[in-house]
Amino acid sequence: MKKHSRYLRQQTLKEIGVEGQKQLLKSRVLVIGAGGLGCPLLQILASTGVGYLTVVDFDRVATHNLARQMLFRNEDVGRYKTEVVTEYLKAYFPDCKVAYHTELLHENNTSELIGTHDVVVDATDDINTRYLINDSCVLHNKPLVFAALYKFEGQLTVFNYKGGPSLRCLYPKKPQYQEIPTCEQSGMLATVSSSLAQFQATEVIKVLLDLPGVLSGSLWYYDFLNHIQRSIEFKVNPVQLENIKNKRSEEEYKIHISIEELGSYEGYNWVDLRSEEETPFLPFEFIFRLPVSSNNFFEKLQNQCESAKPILFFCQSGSRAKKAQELCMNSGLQNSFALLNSIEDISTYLSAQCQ
Amino acid sequence: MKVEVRFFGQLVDKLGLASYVIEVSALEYEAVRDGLEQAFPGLKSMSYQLAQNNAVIEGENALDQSAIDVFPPFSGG
Repeated sequence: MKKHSRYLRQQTLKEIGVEGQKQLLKSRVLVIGAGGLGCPLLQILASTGVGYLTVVDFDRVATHNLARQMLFRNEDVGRYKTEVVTEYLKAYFPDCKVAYHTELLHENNTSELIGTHDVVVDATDDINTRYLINDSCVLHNKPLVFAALYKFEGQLTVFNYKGGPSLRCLYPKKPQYQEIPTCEQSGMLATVSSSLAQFQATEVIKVLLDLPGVLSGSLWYYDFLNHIQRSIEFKVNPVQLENIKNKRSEEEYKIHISIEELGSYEGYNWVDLRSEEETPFLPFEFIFRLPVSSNNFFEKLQNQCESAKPILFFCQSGSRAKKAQELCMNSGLQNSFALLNSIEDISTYLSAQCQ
Repeated sequence: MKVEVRFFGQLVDKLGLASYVIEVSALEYEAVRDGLEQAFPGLKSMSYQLAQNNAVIEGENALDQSAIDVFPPFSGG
């Protein structure tokens, strides 16, 4: 069989060969998150000749992404990440067919997407989404290549591989939002996220080609600052897997919603958590502006909101909304949601609805 | 007896230190977990995993006096 000249060097590796390359060109990989991990990972998977890539991200390119998400240029700021990434991959890697979904993940769309791919890659930056992806991979019996980082430290493993353990086997207790600082709070360096993404991509290729040494049942940890590393073995927790399969808690995910799921905008108490100086200002009378840093936050919230309607928190990107929603739940204030769309999308939505 | 615990990720920032020596009543999982949460009560409500000699420790594992690693989940990406 003839070697494909574009992939000559990697086909020379006996672990890949002509057959392996054919396999890669037939493979379907779902990459969730087109950020610090997702950008380098998508680029390298496309360049190695993975045939079908689906990229999922709901966010738009921001200026502060440019220092580490190197598929984006200055002129892409404000555009959807998925669209920019897709254009780039199509231009540079003609063998790769790229599809994209610009949406927030929830249970239904996650399930549909995961079912049609060979391998799922978690390159997100949100712990709830990570558990959602994990559970769906368990239900669909799909391998999940997981990487996550905190400052200079990275974690990498492959979940649900050939009956191996899942995220809930490693961490049965899902952390609360305030337990894990966001990248916005903790910071991130391009070299760390892209290095980790290269390791993650290598695991994707190993899984696709059924190579030995897949990082299943082992959490690889690396501290790029101090060069400390670990490979922590962990096992299947059958109780956790059964829980996912039998009585997965749907409520767990219903606390986060997107504008597509709202129904009528009039059915909510709209609470804008941004501070006064943040733009754009949304000129709608029904919006109650209550910055998260306000004194007596809960008292003001209860005084202002109609108790018959659920509270809908929103902010610039959704991260403060998630925190406020969780604080509400923990304080016994039921019936609140975090709206995870960007402020630009919320503004467009409301302007269209209120015409 | 005493065992060294080493913290990783956000735990270093939250607890303000990278390692600590805790007092444990026995070299068993429960005793280590209790000793750790007694020294750092904030951990009680948090998600983390304990590992010794590069393996997650559970109820049935026999422990030795090697340091215990305390790993929280990461979510950045």
